[in-house]
Amino acid sequence: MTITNKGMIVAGLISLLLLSTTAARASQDTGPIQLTSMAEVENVTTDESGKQTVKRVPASKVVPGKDVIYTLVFENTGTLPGNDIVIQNPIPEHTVYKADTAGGTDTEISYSVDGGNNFASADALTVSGADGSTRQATASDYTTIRWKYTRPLPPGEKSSVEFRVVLR
Amino acid sequence: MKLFKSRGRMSASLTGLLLLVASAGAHAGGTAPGTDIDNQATLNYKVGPTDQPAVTSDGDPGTDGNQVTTFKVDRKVDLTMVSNGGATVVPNTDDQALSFTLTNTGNDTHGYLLSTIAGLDATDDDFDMASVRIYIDNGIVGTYEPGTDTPYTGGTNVGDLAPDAAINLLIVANTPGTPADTETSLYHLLAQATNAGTTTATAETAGADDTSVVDTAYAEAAGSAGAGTDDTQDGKHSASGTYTVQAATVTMAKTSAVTDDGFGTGTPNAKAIPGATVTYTLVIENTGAANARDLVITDDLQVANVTYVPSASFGAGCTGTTSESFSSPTLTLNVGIVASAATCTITYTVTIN
Repeated sequence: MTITNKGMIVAGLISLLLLSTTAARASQDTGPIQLTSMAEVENVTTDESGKQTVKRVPASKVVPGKDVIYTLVFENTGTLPGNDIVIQNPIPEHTVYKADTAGGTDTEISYSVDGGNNFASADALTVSGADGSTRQATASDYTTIRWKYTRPLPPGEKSSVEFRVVLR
Repeated sequence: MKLFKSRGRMSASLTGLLLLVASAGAHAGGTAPGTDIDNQATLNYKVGPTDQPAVTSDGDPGTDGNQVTTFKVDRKVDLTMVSNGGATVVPNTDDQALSFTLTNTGNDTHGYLLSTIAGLDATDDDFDMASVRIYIDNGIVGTYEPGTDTPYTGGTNVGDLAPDAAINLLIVANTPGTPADTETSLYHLLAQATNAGTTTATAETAGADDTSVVDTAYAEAAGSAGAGTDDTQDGKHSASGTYTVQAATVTMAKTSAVTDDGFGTGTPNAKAIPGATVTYTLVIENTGAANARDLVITDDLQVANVTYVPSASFGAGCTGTTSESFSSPTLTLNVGIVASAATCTITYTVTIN
């Protein structure tokens, strides 16, 4: 137990050093793993023969009620593999998460209804009412989505996760 | 280590709380136009056993620094006109009202132009009303109250509505004398969204998208006025109400029988000989949905051959004030009311000269 504590303290010291080093570098986007976030909408066009084409374009003209697709791309631009990758995205203000749209290869997905303090899988998540009763949480209760990437990300590789919201 | 992680988590929690507050104030019509919708994700990872600094997402990798992913909410024009039901009317009556409610179901404040469109005779309805007008329904909803309800002048802005606000309206018209029982007259009330405080129809933004400027998009469905007049996504909506006529439909049948030949023989054997009494029976039936009022029945008696014997007898179905007057040769019978679905039977007698 004592040894473990010492080990933890040592680890703690190491990461504190890292913390200060990172602060000195200031800019986040020069770190080994980089994360970009893109917002898109789907535009449906119908040609003369009635055939519909769905095209994804960057979100710009978005009226309330329309779906917005967020794609988060994470890339390892460093020389060492990254592991235990966890991505968290608070559902943007004025939007509602669209059920079952969160996805990503090799990910375990969970949700929070309390602003990111606690996460659980969709079927395990509950909300309590004012009278103390609990019910299963629905998509409109979610405040945050979390993806755990289940494998390491080797240098030079990238992957992505995505989710959809509806603009209020 | 713990300190760094908390920092990342704390911002997520704060955003979560903000989300809860914002949701409580949202309009049914949607988020206000021009609002920025921002997104930022956080990635945590390790190299080997060691935690690395958290990474926040960049929405614009081409630009220096870490950008939040953002776009603007555009203006959504949406309006809903609803009919609050039809009206039953009696012929030859003025100021009959159809009730409507117009709601701003978009996300911005608008003014509105109103117009009425008559149903197509033979296709949609049977006749047209006269003197069709629009009023703002200020008093009791659905009831025309002169002086309380405000007349609407065509081509003007009926009044601005904020998102989610609604206004009650009336179509008021006069029923002509001609339509028959159960005939209908249909009217659409059409509204077109204008820029707030103006009579300029709100235009949908055409051309290339611009993330920094609020565009306008129409979102409403097609209304009742039909293709070409009120299509989907044209900044207009309409609903229709129907006036249905309830009239009295009156028929009369007259029969006669010799009820006393003067020597004590009655119907059916009594013959129509001088001195005999003849009884006339009038059966007046109202098969309409409205009460028939103030009926006047006249009979020209052939006074060369008969003498009128007062008085006429009015049956149970002849209600209201009943009376008769005889001014040779005309017998006039008055019945106040023959109610809907009622039968009024009147009998009167003459003697053969």
